[in-house]
Amino acid sequence: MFNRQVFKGLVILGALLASACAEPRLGKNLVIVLPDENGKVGAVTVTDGKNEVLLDSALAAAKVTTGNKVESVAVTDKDVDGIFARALEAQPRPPKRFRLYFIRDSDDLTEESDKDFELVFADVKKRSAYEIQVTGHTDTTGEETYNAELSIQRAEAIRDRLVSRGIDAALIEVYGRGEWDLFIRTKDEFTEPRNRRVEVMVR
Amino acid sequence: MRTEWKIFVAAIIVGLLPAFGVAAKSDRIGQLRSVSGEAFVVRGDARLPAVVGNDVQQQDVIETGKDGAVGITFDDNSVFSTGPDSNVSLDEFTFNPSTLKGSFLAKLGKGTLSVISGDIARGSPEAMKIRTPSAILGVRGTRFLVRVDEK
Repeated sequence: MFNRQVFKGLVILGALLASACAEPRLGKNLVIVLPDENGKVGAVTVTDGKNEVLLDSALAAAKVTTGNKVESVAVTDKDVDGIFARALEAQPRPPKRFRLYFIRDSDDLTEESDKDFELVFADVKKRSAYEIQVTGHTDTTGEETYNAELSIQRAEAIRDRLVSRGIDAALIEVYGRGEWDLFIRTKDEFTEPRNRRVEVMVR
Repeated sequence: MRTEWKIFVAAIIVGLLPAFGVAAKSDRIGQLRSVSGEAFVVRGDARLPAVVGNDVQQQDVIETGKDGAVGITFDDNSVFSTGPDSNVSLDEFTFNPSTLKGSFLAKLGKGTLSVISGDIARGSPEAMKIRTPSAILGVRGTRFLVRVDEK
């Protein structure tokens, strides 16, 4: 009788001790890799100074144990939502780059890019605050100094169009890089529609 | 057209680009884009309430209370957001908008942090690091989550 009670007491005490010292499943530090908005997965290394774990697939995760050791750990979407819901909610819209193409030797958009302009405008409107960089480019046909000027005209045309739709001009930076920053590398005096562009960075 | 001209004009333009950027942007390294609940930017001795649209600077510390959350967009197009009861130090941020290279070192002291890395991490695998009290993360891109709970 007495022995049984002592035994019972020891079992309960043991369970209490075990739970107090239990290693939290997801450690005291936790790192989880997620796919980006395009579904691509990058990589993060996690090191405690001795061990290093490479995380390079979706939901790959590492934790730091109470003994300060980095090790891999399995996590689920439920863990992500449970722990990171508020941080993820607060995530600003990621910066986005658009390319708009121009008719040869002009600051008029091609028909397709004329439609794509609306995507730029729609993206800006979705942001709580915004900054825009507009950088004009040309292909290598024509004089460099002429192209420098044309690239600025193209960038300004996009800026003016954004401003006419109510976007704050003070938040738009305009650059022209002429034929010095080709998207498609070509020889000089080469007509390349994909180089006749304005890159719009919305952030 | 002529090579000497090319180099000369290109040098002027490349030289001017960062100068404009720096003149316009002073010490800023990014901007607050979302704020909810109790949230502060600690800058030296000042503890400034976090407000959407305000700048963040190198060595700022972002602090959130038990219902707070903050989202930041950085000048290299990195994005941070932090949940409640968190502490994020923006220890080092240097970025050259012409070369798209720089260095980014931040520390999550406690709480939760969601990261989308930008141009700096793309530059080299050593360029962006995040520390926690017990680990160092090397960021090769692009999206990941970090929690620190050392209580």
